[in-house]
Amino acid sequence: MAGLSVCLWWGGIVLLLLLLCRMACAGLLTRYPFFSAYITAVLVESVALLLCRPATSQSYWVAYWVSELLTAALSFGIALDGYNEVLAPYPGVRRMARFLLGVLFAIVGAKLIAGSWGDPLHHLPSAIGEFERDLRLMLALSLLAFVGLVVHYAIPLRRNTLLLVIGYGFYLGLRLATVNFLPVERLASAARLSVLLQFAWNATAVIWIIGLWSRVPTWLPEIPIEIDYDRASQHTVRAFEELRHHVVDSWRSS
Amino acid sequence: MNPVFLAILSFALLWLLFLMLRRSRSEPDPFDAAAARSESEVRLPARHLLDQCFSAEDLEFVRARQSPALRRLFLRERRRLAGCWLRETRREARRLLRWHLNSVRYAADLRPAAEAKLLWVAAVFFLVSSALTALVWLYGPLETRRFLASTQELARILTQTTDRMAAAIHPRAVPRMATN
Repeated sequence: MAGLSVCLWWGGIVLLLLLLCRMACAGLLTRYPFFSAYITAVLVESVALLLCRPATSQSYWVAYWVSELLTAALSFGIALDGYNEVLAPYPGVRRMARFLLGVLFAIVGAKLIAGSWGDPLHHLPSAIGEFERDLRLMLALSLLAFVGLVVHYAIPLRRNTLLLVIGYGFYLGLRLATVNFLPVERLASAARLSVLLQFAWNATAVIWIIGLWSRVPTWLPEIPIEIDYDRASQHTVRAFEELRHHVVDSWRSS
Repeated sequence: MNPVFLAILSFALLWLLFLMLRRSRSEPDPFDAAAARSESEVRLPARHLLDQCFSAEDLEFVRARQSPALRRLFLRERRRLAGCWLRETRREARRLLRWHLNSVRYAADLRPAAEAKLLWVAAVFFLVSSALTALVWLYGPLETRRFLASTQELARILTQTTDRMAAAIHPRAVPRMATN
């Protein structure tokens, strides 16, 4: 198991290096600045943790949690890159996304404050683990809001952003499940789980390499469409009410 | 964290990612303002088609034949026709929603409250339509119409009774509290 884990670890480092090289060649480092920073941080983390092994040592434990929190915080940038890149031609949808994120963060933030009220950080590993769990939850919610808006408004996505979001969604889902179902004290040292997560991470890196291999131009509407939003919105609401009355009236006895 | 909540969250995320992947394969439709104007009109499914499903003459004709097999066939066909009519209305509702989303996604003044209101109106329509479909599927169109008529009558009686009760209560001033 240890040998496989080290192989996967090295494999992950090679994949990340390849990803960064391809992004640099395709000129995507500046297009996705937060994602590039995140990948660089994960690369540094992987090398640092490799140097701090074995996984049961105190230095590994400290390095693990510090880097986990740092990369979890940085990974917010992936969603931010997605919002900036995809929603740029849609100012209204972008505003809607900001509103949705605000509501979601307010709810999760209120839950966090309520949860930690009267429960001081008496047990550091649990507190860090729970904090990471809540961070990942916020990430999942921000990604969910983003993907929900993209699907709802049928916003076209090109390969670069599409596979970036899919890869991250896949890894985040798995990560969220593991930090939720495993006791936090065991997260840093659980060997089988570590191998599973490494597999998932390497698969994610492969998805990203495929997605970011070359630059695909963003789809932009050919002509800016000017539409009276209030009129369109009221018209659709009226149309739905008309349709509903028609259905109900048709079923009433004449 | 509640595992059920997390399971729902993960499932929703996976489902949306799948939808996103599926939609990304098709090229976006170019927006045609002239076509959009004509598409914004509501195309109501013809009412007379549904009225024919409830035709008393047809039912009498089938009853007069005194053939249980013919009656079963008649009711099955009427159920199928009513289902088709309801499906047509849902298709029209989906088209209207798609038209709206395609038209307003470029709008700079998109408002969450207005979008939420529209989603609510759409949800109510789909709820009514689904309830009708379920009733038609369970009891057939003729029984459904009778059931709706009796529900309507019950609602009317209840409204009348409530109105009478409200009228019977004479308004009286609340006694004032003594103040020092």
